Amino acid sequence: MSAPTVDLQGVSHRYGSTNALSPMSLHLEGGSTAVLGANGSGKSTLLRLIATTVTAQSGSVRIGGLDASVPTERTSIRRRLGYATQHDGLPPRMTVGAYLDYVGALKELTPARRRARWAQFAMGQVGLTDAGERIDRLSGGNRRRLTLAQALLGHPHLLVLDEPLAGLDGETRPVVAALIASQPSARTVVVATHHTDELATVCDRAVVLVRGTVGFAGTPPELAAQADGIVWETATPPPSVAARAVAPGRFRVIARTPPPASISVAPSVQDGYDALQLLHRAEPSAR
Amino acid sequence: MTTFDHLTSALELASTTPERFVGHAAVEPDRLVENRFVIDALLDAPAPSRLERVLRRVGVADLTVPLVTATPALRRGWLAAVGVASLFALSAARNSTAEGFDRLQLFLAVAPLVPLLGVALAFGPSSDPAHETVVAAPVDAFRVFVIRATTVLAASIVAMAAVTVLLPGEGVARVAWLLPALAVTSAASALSTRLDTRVASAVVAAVWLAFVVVVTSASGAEATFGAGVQWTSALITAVGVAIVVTRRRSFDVLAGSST
Repeated sequence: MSAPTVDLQGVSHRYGSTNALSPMSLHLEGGSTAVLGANGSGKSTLLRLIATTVTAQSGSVRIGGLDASVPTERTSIRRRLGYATQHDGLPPRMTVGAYLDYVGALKELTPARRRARWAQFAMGQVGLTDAGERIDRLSGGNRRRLTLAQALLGHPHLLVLDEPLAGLDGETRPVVAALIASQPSARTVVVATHHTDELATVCDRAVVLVRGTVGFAGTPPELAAQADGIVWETATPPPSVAARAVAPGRFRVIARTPPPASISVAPSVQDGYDALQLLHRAEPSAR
Repeated sequence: MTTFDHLTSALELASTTPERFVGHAAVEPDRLVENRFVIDALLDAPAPSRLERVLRRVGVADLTVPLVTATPALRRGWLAAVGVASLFALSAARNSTAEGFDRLQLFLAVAPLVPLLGVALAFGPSSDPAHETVVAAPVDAFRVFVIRATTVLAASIVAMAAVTVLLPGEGVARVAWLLPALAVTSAASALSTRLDTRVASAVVAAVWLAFVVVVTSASGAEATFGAGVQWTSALITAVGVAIVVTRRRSFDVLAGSST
């Protein structure tokens, strides 16, 4: 079975009086896509629309050609979906094994023996070892691993992951990022993240949301190119510009004119993202 | 040493020092390591809970068992409510005087809230941390709601029926809480198609208690649980169920997200 396409046309969504997504369109093919954006830019709402847990208030969401607003087609989408929510949503008093058995049942995996095999496989994928451990005794990193493991149950063709690296330590993040990047080509992976350099660089595509609309859609090198010629490294960043520490005593600055005692450097994906954010902050009408 | 111990020891040896087994025609180290993984999986699998074993023994469907055992309401808050209501019953049972009769009325007023509390804690984002995972799953969320609501309702009714035998008085007066219990639960379920289950249950509980206070003050305690209220409760139950079934698709997405 081929990777499902994700097709959003003129989609908008509001929570009460708060506008989460303005009318926006987006088309994603198979492979992995990193969804980037500041807090409140609409990343989680976009992922919920793709995961079909919320319905678009205007426009259409089609996954693999199926209409997410039609209940029977929505169920078909969910049969191919693995979804890890932003907040891990783990019942504290259950054990790891019981929780994976529970989610396996929600995914219609039967009989219990088959669910147990899937649980073992998913735990192995994310590096969890103790099925009998209670969830409220897991570390923050292992909770994220478990959230990821439940999403992998049943071999989903569409994997929607909201902040999968949040709460993971510096050693674990690259491991999980590599796991996400190494998903089979028959799978479409949509992942929201703040860890631009660690995750977006290993994805096939990047989408940047700015105040509920698509500010950029392209490959990670194309996103990095947004900052071509305006990235500088210096030991003494001027106080008037935002600087990002990249190493002890080394800072990156994005500016049209070079700061004193700085050298020009090739932009990273994070630089491209930062440049886009600065552009939209300076020119709100740019979108 | 049992056969099982012997087998696991052999597999342990094979997996740590496979070179010792190379050349033995009957032994394939890779397969031994693989088999050890399978045995580890079986050893690591947590033992099923008592509730799970009981449900399987009575023939509950394989996919339904985890949905029942994961019901958030089968926990302390709801069990505490059952305990409090039971205390009312025991208190009333020890006082068969006029004061005891008042306590019976108090029990009848409180008892319907026990299953209501159970349903409030059984489903919805404010009670179930895994609610969004439930909604995103192919299993019909309405079915999950019905399974959980039925589970806590049945458990509540059994528990409250057990303490009812301790109550003073005779005949149907002692079970006058049953239809109101079904009515408030059904009404809260119907409201849950519009509101979070916990909010819906709080609204219904407030309305029920206000009704008890007002009617008892105006017409006396007997009117609160009389035939009129029983028939009305039956009607509310039926209407509530009809609304829930009609709006079953509202459980399918997060509350407040649909148009």
